Amino acid sequence: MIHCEALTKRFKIYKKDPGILGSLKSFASREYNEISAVRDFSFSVREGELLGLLGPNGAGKTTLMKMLSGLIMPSDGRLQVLGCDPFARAKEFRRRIALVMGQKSQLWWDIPALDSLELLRAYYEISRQNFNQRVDELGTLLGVNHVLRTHVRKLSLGERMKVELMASLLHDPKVVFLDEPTIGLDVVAQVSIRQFLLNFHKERGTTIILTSHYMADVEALCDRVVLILGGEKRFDGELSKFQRLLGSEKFLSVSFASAISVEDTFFVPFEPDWDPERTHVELRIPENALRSTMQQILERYPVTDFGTEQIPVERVMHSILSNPQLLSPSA
Amino acid sequence: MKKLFSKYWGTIRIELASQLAYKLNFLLLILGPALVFFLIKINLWYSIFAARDNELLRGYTFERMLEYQTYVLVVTLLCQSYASRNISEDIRFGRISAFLLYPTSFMGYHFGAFSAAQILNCLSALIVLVIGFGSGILPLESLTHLAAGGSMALLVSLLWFCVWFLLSSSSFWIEESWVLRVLFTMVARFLSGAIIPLDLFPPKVLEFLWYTPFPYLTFIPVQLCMGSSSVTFHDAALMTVLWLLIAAITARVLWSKGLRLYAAAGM
Repeated sequence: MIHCEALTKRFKIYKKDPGILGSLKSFASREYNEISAVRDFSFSVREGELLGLLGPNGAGKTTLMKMLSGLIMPSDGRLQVLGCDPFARAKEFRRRIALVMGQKSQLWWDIPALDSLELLRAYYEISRQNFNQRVDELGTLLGVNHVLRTHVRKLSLGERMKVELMASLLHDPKVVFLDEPTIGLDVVAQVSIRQFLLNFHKERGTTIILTSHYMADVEALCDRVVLILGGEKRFDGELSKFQRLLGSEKFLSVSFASAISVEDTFFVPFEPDWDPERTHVELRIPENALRSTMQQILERYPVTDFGTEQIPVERVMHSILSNPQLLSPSA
Repeated sequence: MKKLFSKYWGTIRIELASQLAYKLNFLLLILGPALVFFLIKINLWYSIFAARDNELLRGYTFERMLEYQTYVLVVTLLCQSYASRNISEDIRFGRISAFLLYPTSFMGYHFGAFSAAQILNCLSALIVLVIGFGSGILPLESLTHLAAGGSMALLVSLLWFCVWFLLSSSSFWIEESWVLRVLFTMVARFLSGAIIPLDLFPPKVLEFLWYTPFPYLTFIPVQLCMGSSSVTFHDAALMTVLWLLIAAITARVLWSKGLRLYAAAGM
């Protein structure tokens, strides 16, 4: 479905010192830097996969999405999506993909959302019957049927994002690229979009590539994750393997009846994350030490509640980003 | 063909709705500049004729100049108002990304948007004509020439559309391409006869200008409206189509080459 080999994208960046002097200097002679936003990136995505692209800002996730969707031309490498070269931008290819940009709207701002959908119906050559059925189905699933006749500029961010999703899925694409679909949304809207995507993927079997800074999106939706750091692929595998990257550790959260003293050093080896009142702590504990450590905590402290789980992706990402050496070169 | 028309008609409908969403904006962007420019020119020509005791200026009386400038206003409204669309900025800030993903052509989308704008521009031009004929600024005899002049103006509007697209495509290479567009508009206004009728230019300059597209942008359509054109409608249309083809092909080539540099910023 998607296959790329040694994909590279270089950008020429123009450097300028601040201030008027910098402007004058750059007028006389301009300095350019060439940066590789994506370097030697290879991967394959099977039909029906739901893959999460992870990485900090500027890692190259969005550049990769732009190349996969045919918006920008790769500098080097081979790329095939649905058997086509995306940058050739054949109409048949464009009919089978969709890109949802969380930070950019594809709807017409000054008219009701339904009018935008009507125009997309004409562009994607969807029959009237199919269109009505799709609008009804997607509108119900996303809970936005009541806002379709409202001007887009008057919609809340969450409603707009849902209508954006609706607009992108109207033509029943085979591959959907989701770039930060839940950015800036409140928790309720995030959960509702996640749930919709999960159901949609299950029902239709659409191939979905997702980037998100919200690890909850990735945890809820993706079976496979690809980590990009500095434009290079650093991890490609199942989410459960990614969660075990830091070793076989468990995530333990403990609540106490009274505040624990700052001078108490018992928790220090477990990278504690305290709440401001110091009545709740989250710890990373090696699996083989979990039982004994838990016993000691229960004996020494006024524990009111506790729970263990796999280390959240958020925490794994945080550790990797602050210490990229944790990843072996072969990962 | 039916599907193509459906896409085109869909774009026209949505663009009409968008453009009419902000009435004041529409007036300020489209009518405002043309009307202010017209009033400045009338004031200027009134002062020139007053200083010469209403003496003939190479065959122009003040009344004839007023007629000329009123038709310039009509032609400007019909031809140049799409200039207010900032395709360059859309390219620079990556706002064209969504359109590049739709299975339709970007130029085709803008042609639909341009057609929608032309419907409104025709209405504005019609209002100016009604006021012109009603107030006597435009002599009723010139009504018979309106079909030729108006058709020519609509053909020229297509040339402007392609030129505008061509200039906007420069944004793929030049960050601040508005300078290029402003410069072109100023030169075109002067050399197309929108300020001074071209028959008042020195003959040598005029002779040179016939080898450029400028006279066809304003002077010829206005002269056709006034029934005083030195060039027949047939010849003028042929030359305009030639320039139109050159501009359209260049715009298409520039656009395809520019897309290779597109970075889809802001996403």
